[in-house]
Amino acid sequence: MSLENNLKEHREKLGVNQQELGALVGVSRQTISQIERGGYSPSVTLALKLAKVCGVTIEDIFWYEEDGEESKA
Amino acid sequence: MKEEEHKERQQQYQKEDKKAFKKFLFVLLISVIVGFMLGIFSAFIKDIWIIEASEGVKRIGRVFAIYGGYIITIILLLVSVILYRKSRKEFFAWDGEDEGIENRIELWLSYVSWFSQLIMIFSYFFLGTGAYVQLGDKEVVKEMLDTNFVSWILNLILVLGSMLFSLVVSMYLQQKVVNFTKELNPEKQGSVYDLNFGKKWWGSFDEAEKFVTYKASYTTMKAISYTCMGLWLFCLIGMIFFDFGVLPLIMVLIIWLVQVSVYCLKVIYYGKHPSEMMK
Repeated sequence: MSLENNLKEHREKLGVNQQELGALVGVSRQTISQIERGGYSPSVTLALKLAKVCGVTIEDIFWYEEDGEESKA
Repeated sequence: MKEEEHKERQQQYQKEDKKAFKKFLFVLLISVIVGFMLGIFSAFIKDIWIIEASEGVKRIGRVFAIYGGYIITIILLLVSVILYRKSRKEFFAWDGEDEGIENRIELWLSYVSWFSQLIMIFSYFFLGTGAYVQLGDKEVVKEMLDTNFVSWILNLILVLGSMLFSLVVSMYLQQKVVNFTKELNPEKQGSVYDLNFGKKWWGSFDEAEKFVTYKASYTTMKAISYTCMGLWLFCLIGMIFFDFGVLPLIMVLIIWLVQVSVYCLKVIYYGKHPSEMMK
């Protein structure tokens, strides 16, 4: 099982770069980059902040994928 | 029912232990045999002339103890300057969007940071070896003072100068890396010359950066454990066969004890104060 996300799409809809999104939620550009690449699973607090800034729910950004499952669109 | 479950679990643990114990015993046996053979070999080669370094080798060693710090510092400084300049060039050419460029810059700066710390550690090493060469062997020192006082003073100045040079270079590189990192990440705080720099810099880390530090620290802890084990063996052999005394062994064990104790006590502390973990 792995944690997947489409944070990059939501960020692009918002019209901000990684640095700007990081500033909005109080983390570094590097952290946003690592989340988008799937290299880091954010804490619940950070996930909630990201969802709030993007104007969506957490489940719209993050989901768990079982091995062999199709990825979310 | 609870007691039955407990018994079942105990039996399961015993099965796991039994399975792993055979491999553990085998590794332990091999380690004892290798250690024993190393010890015998060391005693054997001690008597061979190779171990008695020729005057020429000793002279090279003395020269390296005095000049080695300068050489290593200059090499690491040159490499660091190249990486730093590459980073600045890419930074000025960056359009603010390409993530690959930022990741590359941060990688190069990490290497420069590493080299700056290596320079500092080597400076301590060469101060020690230089001081030993200049001041350690009382007969050599007496001979030098009687026959070549000026040369002895110059070498002493070079040894002290080496440490000063290395420390200045190390601080300069760290300052460059920190300030450049602050340009890339404006939320970062602290000046390298601030006595509270470590605390401020750590305070400006976000959760992912702290997570990287935790993982790197755990790997470091394991590496130190293996290193201490190797050094313990080396000191044991040296103590018995090369008469270099028990002090090196004590030094190694102090490091090992501190590492293990701090780790375990912190685990106990966070178990009792879980809210402290998030600070």
